[in-house]
Amino acid sequence: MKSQKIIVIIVIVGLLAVGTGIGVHYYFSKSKSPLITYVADAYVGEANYLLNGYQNSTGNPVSPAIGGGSYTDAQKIGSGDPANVFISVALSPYSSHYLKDRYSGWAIAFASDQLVLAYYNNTTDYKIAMMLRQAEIDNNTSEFVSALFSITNKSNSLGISDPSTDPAGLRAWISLEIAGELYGHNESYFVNAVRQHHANVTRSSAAQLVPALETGEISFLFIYKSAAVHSGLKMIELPAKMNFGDTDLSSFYSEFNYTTVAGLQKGSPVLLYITALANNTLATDSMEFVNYTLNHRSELSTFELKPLQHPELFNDTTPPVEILSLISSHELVYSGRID
Amino acid sequence: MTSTKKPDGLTIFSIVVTILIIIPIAFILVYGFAVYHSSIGFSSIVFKSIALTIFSSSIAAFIVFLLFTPLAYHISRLSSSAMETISDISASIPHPIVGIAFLLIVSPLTPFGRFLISIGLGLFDSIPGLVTALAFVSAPVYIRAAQSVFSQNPSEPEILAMGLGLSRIKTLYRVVVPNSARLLLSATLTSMSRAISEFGSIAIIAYVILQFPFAGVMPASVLIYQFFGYYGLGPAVTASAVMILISIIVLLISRFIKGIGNNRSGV
Repeated sequence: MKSQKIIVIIVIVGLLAVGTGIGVHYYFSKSKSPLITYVADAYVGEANYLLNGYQNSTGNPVSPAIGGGSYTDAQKIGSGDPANVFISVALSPYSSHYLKDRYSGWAIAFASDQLVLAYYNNTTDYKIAMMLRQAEIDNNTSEFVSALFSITNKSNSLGISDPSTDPAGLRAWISLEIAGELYGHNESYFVNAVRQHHANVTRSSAAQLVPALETGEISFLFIYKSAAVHSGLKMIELPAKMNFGDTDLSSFYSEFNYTTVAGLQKGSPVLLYITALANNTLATDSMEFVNYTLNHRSELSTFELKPLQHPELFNDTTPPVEILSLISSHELVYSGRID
Repeated sequence: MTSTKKPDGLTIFSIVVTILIIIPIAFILVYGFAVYHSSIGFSSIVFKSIALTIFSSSIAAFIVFLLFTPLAYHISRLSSSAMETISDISASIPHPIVGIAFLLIVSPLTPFGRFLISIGLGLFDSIPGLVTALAFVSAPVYIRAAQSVFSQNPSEPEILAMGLGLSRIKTLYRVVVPNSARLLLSATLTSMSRAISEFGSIAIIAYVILQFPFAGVMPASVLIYQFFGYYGLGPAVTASAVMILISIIVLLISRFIKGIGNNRSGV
């Protein structure tokens, strides 16, 4: 009986010691609050790369990037989740509608990506993917339509993330509209095929569909190229008019739209944006990290991202002085409004 | 003559910690029904989603009752620390791991997955997949509760039954289960409550159901998470309040069933 009591006391003291030790270690090693960054979950790897570089160069503590669909991230930040920096793959999540009192009124596009079609590595899906690629190379419209129709009419086989929470899903649906317009002479041709055959499987972000593709639960997945490469997925690149990777085609992409729960959303190039949020507990660190990101954007090419030669500023309000100085030195160009 | 017993320190402390549990629930209910009162939170999508959750959780609880009653009885009578530990595993691992495990098991990558697909039993985004995940995560709750029920039962009737030549399994179903039916039902409802609250595993294996009669319907926990992403706090809190109300009703029924016998026996 006495030995049992001793064992219980030892276990309790041991647990308390471990817990206290961990707490004390973190309290003293990170006396300064770490920088909290929310990021579109396709780009968590890139964000962590930048954060680690920033931490090494400045000594300021950082938390690992928190990933999620861009719209979900924005909702969380607007609802009060602690955050300092927000990296999104669409511009509309930076609006006051989502960010509320964290709305900074500006965002900078610093790299571009493109939408690709990743496929499950089995014979049937590989053949369809190759057929689509060859038809695109040969400019063979009927073959392209045939291959894309095979993809869109197979039940529960095409991964498209939720367009209301993830811009990749939004762009996937618009890409199907563009394909319908270009190859089927009817914008709804492939969208209707997907719906009629219940082809699409969804999750709140494309990253969450990657395991389903890897295990063969789905055959195809619309995902950004950098995320596909990072996950080691087999993929085919889509024609430039369907992949949202060419900033020169911005006006063409914007001719197409899709309605989400937030309303009508226009097509836009896949650009990675960054902002330091308003009412920021780490305002200086956040701006330093934004500057660090802009200065080190060329390193993102290792992630298959295309760093923009001149980062683009989108703003509704006057940006901080650090940003204004980049404008005056022509390192940054004005590109329009957020809202 | 009435006796007014003054609450002691332990009672006051217990009341305080009970209030701590109630606080977040009360906030959701007040904000959901009185402050936000979002129409989206009361939409047919929410009620379909709750219907799916109740349907799948009740089937899962029934399956858990069928499969795990013998195990709970076995552990209660012939203590097996190995079996007890194994039966607790699904409660002690993060539930997304459960979802990933099922995703792997039923995928074409594994022979078992290929077999299931060959007989047309896909678990991905399906009702069977949802029920399987819910049964897996709620089983430990049932096993613990049923084990406690069996342990409190007197063993004399069982000894008598086995003395008359009944096997242990026949004794379980002819003597033990009928004598404990009420408390086992309460344990089953408690495990159903646990299934209702599940999110981590089903967000991976059964995010949205693709089959009739729930085609396009998300389980309630997933839908509420989605609402938060779509619309922000208001609709998510209102839908949460509706869901909490349903969960409380299930728990109250469970407590009521448990309480009937206690009152009868004067406990």
